[in-house]
Parts: sequence; structure tokens; C-alpha cells
Amino acid sequence: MSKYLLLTGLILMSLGSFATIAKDTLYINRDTVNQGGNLIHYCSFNNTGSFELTNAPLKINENDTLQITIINNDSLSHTFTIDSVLEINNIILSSDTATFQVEFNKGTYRYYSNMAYGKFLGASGNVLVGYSSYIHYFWNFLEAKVTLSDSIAKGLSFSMPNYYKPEVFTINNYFYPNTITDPFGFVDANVGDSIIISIVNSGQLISPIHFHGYHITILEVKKHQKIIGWEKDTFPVFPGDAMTILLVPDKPGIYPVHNHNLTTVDTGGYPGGMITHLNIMP
Amino acid sequence: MKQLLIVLLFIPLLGNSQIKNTKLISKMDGTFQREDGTNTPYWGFGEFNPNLTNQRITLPSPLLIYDLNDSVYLKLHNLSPETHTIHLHGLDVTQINDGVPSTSFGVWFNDSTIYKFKAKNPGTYLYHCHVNTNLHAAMGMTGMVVIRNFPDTNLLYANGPSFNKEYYYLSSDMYLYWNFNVTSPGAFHMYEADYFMVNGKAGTQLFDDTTQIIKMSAGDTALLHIANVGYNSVEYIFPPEANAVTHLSDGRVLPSPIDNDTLVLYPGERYSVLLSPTQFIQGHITVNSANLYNTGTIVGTNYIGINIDSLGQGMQDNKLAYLSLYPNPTSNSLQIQSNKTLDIHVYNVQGKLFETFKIQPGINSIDVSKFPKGIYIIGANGFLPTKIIVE
Repeated sequence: MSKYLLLTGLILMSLGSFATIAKDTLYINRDTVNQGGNLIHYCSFNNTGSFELTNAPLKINENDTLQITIINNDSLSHTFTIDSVLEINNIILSSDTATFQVEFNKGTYRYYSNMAYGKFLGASGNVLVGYSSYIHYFWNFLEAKVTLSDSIAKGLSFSMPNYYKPEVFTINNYFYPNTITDPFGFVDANVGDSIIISIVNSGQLISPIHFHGYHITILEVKKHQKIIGWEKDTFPVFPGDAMTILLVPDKPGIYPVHNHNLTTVDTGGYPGGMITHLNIMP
Repeated sequence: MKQLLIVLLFIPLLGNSQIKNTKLISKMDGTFQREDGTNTPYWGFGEFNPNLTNQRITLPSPLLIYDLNDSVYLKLHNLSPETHTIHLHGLDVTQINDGVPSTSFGVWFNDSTIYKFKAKNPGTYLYHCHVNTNLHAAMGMTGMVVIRNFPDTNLLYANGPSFNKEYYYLSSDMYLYWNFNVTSPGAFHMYEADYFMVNGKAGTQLFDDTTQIIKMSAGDTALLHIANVGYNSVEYIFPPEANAVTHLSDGRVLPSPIDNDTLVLYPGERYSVLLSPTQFIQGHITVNSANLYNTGTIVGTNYIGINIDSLGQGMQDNKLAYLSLYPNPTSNSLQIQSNKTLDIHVYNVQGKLFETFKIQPGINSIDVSKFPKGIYIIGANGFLPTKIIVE
């Protein structure tokens, strides 16, 4: 059975702009993936009805309206939530379909299923609004604990344990070195390019991210707003946060970017986990 | 921290650009004494000493200070059986000088290399080994780099605020199981910080070390270089009277200074903080270490002493209150000096009120000879709590 639900989020579009409606469809799929010897259960928002590891990033021009249809292929209900934009009347039952219409300001947003199992199983992705003339990439941080993932998949537990020590750390649900073949996350650009990186933290832990080779400028942050405008090589990304950063490389080279809570760079052995590379050509 | 300005070769060039040569060695045979007296193995870097046949490492590794626009040649000679590197964290060096084995190279046993970089931005930076980083950094192969705003080294940055005193605080942590089982540490992601240091010292080692105490007089401004190279986050809590203002982070000027008594550093972050006290202080900066796996859970605390030892004329005119306690540690009597009548509260380390008494303006001698030996917190309305030790 299909349900058509039309919701409008915050209307922040300036008067006189020429808004168009960007239409998109995402499917909520579920599967189990071997991540460096750890079996992890995932829920993902994908572009097709077939499970893909990475939640599909959404890109919208500034002032456009997003009209998105969510098809829930999972056996459980989910929501399509965007903090401060779409937070109510957004439950999608199993095998149901819902359509939402939302408008945004420029910047990065995190969309996710607000069901506990959805959040823990990684049903969460990026929305980048604006920056259309920039080269852009998407990073979505997540960690997983094998026993918790298994317990949630079996419907036995939906809460974080008091002692939470995950084993699997990923960017776009890939662990290093698989991150450097990720078309959404592996930064491949040239000296002097203005590179926008849309970042969300879908996990439960603060991720202090360190850039080798360059400082970046933090353009906007949804939660930890104190650091807006700062030039940093190491900065925290808080759980549930969404931010947009600008990288303008001044020299060529291959440089790592990684979580500097070093327990997170061990998935599949060291170096692994939450590491990616920048490949900057002359 | 041992303040070490390593300048083995100093060649003036045109303009402000100078060449600075530094020679470090890496070894895996260090032993340091923890707060409880336990000898503990560590690895690290040390300043190369041509007069020694057995080179020595330090915990933390030597503080490296350079001037703006210096061309730095940092030589590493590896005297240990494992490969090591130096990653110059935050200095935005070229790929070949980045110290990451997979994208640059490693330095093998009894081999050496020279890392080259230009000191472009005044501020606070780190260096650490990037081979098996989890283990090598946790074992102690970490240090601080400072770039001074040459030639105006009394300014934080060009046209920035001035200071006349400078201190360096590098926070780190260890998982002691690794120190004693380094050949079988287990999975790296199972690291569990259980020893917390500032400049390689913990507890009374830090609090009682006169070289670590911030000593200022009225009118002084102190620059604190603060960095965190541990796995945990650290929270620096400054006395409000110190007027702590943060100006730089990661070697870049902040859009606007932050006037905040609490500063949190996540792993790999650095800050430059100015203290401009307006009031007599004899207290401490609290340094809390929090486990990132249970956000906000403080698992260790250290204290850095801060002693503002005189009042300026302007402050005396304003009749600001002060409170001074000495000697500390003490065994018989504690002198408490203030210019106000105050109710003094003494708490034990469990936070339980131990004794209350009143003091009068001037010097008050308190008999503590009957206090059980230990640490006490002295509190008075309007003043930060002060830790004293009764021996």
C-alpha cells in the first residue's frame, strides 16, 4: 500500500529567487556486511531497491525545494528526519512509501531514521545545499559494535550499553583502505581548487578529524557552532552534527585525513578504520 | 616540560629567514617513574648529544622552538630496532616530509633522515611517530613544536596581543598495559587510557614541580601553549581571576578571541591562551581527562599550580580581595593570608566537610598537625578552591 504524504519543512527561501523542485527517491534497505572480519548489520538509504553500503548523499541547489520519496523496504518502521527541518509526521511504516517536500538554507544537513535501530544501524546520510559551483565530497562517520549491531538486528536491544567500545569505524560505511576507492569520499582534486566537504557524524562518538598537509576553513556547523569560521587542521565532529568545510590545497601530494582518536584507525588492522586520503594533483 | 631550544646551526640569511638545524634520536628503552614510584617503560625522542655514547630520550620528547620564517632541517637518527618517523602535526609540510610510512617513508634502525619545513605561522603544534601510531604515540613518542612570532617574539602574532611570560603544557595519556606488554598489546582499538599526564607528569609530580607552576606578578601576561596528544579529550579549567583568553587554535588566529574559563581540547588539537590576572591567585588550573567512549566521563584529573604573587598599585586601589595559603605542602601549620574576614571551609578529597573556621585580615596561622596526612581542599566564599597537602 502506498501513502502519499506531503510535508513542508522550514521555508527559508528568499523572496524573488527562482526556486525549482528537485525530485529524488530513496529506498531503505537492510543487509549484513563483513567489515574487516566483523559482521555488521546495516540499514541504508539507497538510490535503488538493492542494498548499497553508502547512504546516498543528496545534493540540492541553493533555493531549490527537495521533494523526496522514501520507500521503506525494511521490515520495521523508520522515519525520514532532518534536524530543525523535518522532525514530525514523518514515520514510514514497513513496505510503505512517503513523500516529503522540504526547503533549506545553504549548508550541510543530516537526514536519518530517528528509530533507535535505524540510527544504530547507520540509516543516516548527507544533504548538501548550495555550493553548486564547487568540487564537493561527502563524509559520513559511523562506528559499530559487533554485539550491539547483532542484538539490534535481532530486535533484542535498541539502546547503547553503558560501556560502549566499538570495533568498526568507517567513512561512508567504508574502512581504510576501501575509503580511497569511495567516489563520494575520496578527494581527488588539483592545487588551487576550492573543495567543499560535507560532513555528518552518524555515530555516537565525537570524531576529532585531523588533516595532514593542510588547514581547512569551517564554513558552517549545525550543533558545535563555536568553531564556525575557524581555520583548523584538527576539529571535533559531534554525534549527530552536520558541517561544511572548505579546503583549498596549496601544494600537490597525497595526504591522509583521519580520526585522531586513534582507536578508530584499527578496523581491519592498522592502518584501517576511519582514514581516507586526499590526492592533490599539481 | 623541559624547555629546549635546539639550535645547532644558526645562519642568518637575507630578511628574517634563517636556517635552523635540529638533531633528534629515537629509542625504545626509556624508563620513567610514575606518581606512585613505579618504573615504567616508554619510547621517545631525545636531543642528540654528541658527548654521549648512550643517547637518551625524554618524556615528553623535547620541546622544539623555532621562529617565524625559519627554514627547519630536523634530522632524525633512529637508534631503535623498529622503524620510526616524525609526523609534524599541523605544520602542513610537503608529502615527502609528512612522516607517514605509506605516503612518504620510514626511518629504519640506525638510519637517519632530514625533515624539512618552513615555519609559516606562529602557534602551537605537535610531532609524533606515525609508524603504528596507536602504539608508538601511546608509548610516548610525542612532543610539542612552537613557532614564535619572530622578530616580535613578545607578540602572539603580527600586530597581535603581547605577553612577557611563556609556558608549555602537553597533555597525554597512556594505557599502562601496553607499556608492560608491548610485544603483545592486543587489538589497537582496545586502548583504554588509564594514566594521564601533563608534560609527562601526573598528580603531585606535576603539582609540586616548581618548573611547571605559572608564576606571575601584577601586570604580567602569560602565554600558555596547550596541546593534547592523548586518546582522551582534556578540559583545562582556569581560575576566573586569571582572565584566560584563547587567541589561536592549531596555529591560526581565531576570528575573535574567546574569553572562557574552560577550554576543551580533543585529540590532536592545540590552543594558545593568554592569562592576564587582575587578582592575587594561589591556586591551580584543573586538567580533566575524559574518555571519548563515554562522553563527558572524567577519568583522570591533574592540577597545574598558578601563583600570582603580588598586587599592582591599581589593584590595591580597587581593594580587591586576596587569599594566600602557604607553605604547601605542610605538616604543622598553614599560614592563611587575606585582606578580608573570611569563613574558611576545609574538605577532604572525598568532598566531605572536614573543618570550618574564620580568619581575620592579615596572616592567620592554622594548626594542621592533627590533620590526617593527605590532600585537602580549602574553600572560601568568592575564591577558587585550593588544594593543600598535609604531610
